[in-house]
Amino acid sequence: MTVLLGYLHEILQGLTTTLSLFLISLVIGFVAATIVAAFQIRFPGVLAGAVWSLMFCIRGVPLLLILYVVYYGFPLLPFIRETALWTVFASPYWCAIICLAFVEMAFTSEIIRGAYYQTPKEQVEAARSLGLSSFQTFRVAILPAMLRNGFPPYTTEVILLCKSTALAFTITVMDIMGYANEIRARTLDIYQPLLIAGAIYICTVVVTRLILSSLFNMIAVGGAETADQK
Amino acid sequence: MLDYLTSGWGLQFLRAIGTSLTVAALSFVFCILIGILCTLLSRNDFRGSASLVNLYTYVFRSLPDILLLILIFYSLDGAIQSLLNRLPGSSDIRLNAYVPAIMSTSIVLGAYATELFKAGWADIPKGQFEAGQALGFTRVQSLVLVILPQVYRKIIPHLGSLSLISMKETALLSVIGIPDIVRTASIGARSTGSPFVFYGIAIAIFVIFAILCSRVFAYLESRARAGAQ
Repeated sequence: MTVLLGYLHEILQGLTTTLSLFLISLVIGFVAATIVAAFQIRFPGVLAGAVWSLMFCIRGVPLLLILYVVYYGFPLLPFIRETALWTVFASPYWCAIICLAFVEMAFTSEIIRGAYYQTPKEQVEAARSLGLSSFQTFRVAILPAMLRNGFPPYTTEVILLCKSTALAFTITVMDIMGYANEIRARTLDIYQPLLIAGAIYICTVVVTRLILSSLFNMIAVGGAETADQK
Repeated sequence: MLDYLTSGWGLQFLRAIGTSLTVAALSFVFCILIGILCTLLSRNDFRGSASLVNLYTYVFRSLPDILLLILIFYSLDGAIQSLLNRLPGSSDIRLNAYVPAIMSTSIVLGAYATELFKAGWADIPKGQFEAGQALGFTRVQSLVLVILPQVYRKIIPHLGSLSLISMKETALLSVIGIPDIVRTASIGARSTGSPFVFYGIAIAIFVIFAILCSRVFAYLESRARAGAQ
């Protein structure tokens, strides 16, 4: 029992790393995804098609491979090694954040695009015929529908991102999984450290789900209300 | 790049592609079987089985895949090996690492497949089993001939992404030591000192697979839609 508590204490050291990996890449990924999706929606054409293909390719490649390329490959590039970028790419922690945000961008931009195109055309036309400007139309007719349609898949994506942060241990980031793996290699106990790490991950995911579902209730209902009031 | 491919790495990559594709295909098939089985269990009249299935999907979808893979791989490996050693006169059998590897990816992916099948199965009335029986079908026949085609039509777009996920999932096996595409690429990158060539080849393989997958499933989807009309 004392051994297990010792393990728990050691693994919990990685909790802040896991949470910060998760939250920082979530925010960066979301902002990047919004820009990418907005570009694709606003300027349809060859360039948007190219962006879509790039996102499709990123979604097809395992995160592990992207982590390896950035962590082991990028230091060999002269323009990274010899400029200020090196301070970022020399740290496995920031490499992991960049990779997670990059992959998150590819998935989230598709969710945003899907939510946008799910909005009924009639709703937009009705808003325009009421004399609303295009920004007002977006705020009143499109955004609430996008939030309602896009939030459930986005919740799934956020949970997936939370789970993906565990891969950061493959490039020597000491997060929850990193500490658990270190104990596993040191003591040859397989089950205890991994099960403890698993329990911590489940708690994190449960809390994330609770936060997201209460956020969804707030946003979806609030969006419907403002749409009705206008 | 051609120098590397002709100097033996090409053969290594071909072997790795074979490994990855085999493991991915087998885990895809097994996870679908797990999905069908768990959905049947959760639609059973016995309530306990439904909550067991819910527990399985909830826990497995909340844990990182890599953690689950390591945990299941080592437990299965140990369990099967000690079982084999119990058998009389077979103490020198060494288990192939692919068996626990495929089993662990199938169990992890099975949780996703179960959710998928449960969603596709949701609005198919239970009475269809009885209707099948009235027509003289056995339970298996009415499952395969009546119910699964309807479920298939509903979940076919998601099956495409599931196949892509199972391909990406096999990449995680490289952490355990299975010589798949990612492992071959990183060994090559480390031993030759040119990571971009090797990782580039690996990325190209995955991208080609993703494109093929989306083409195949778009075709299957259009055929399923045509069949429904």
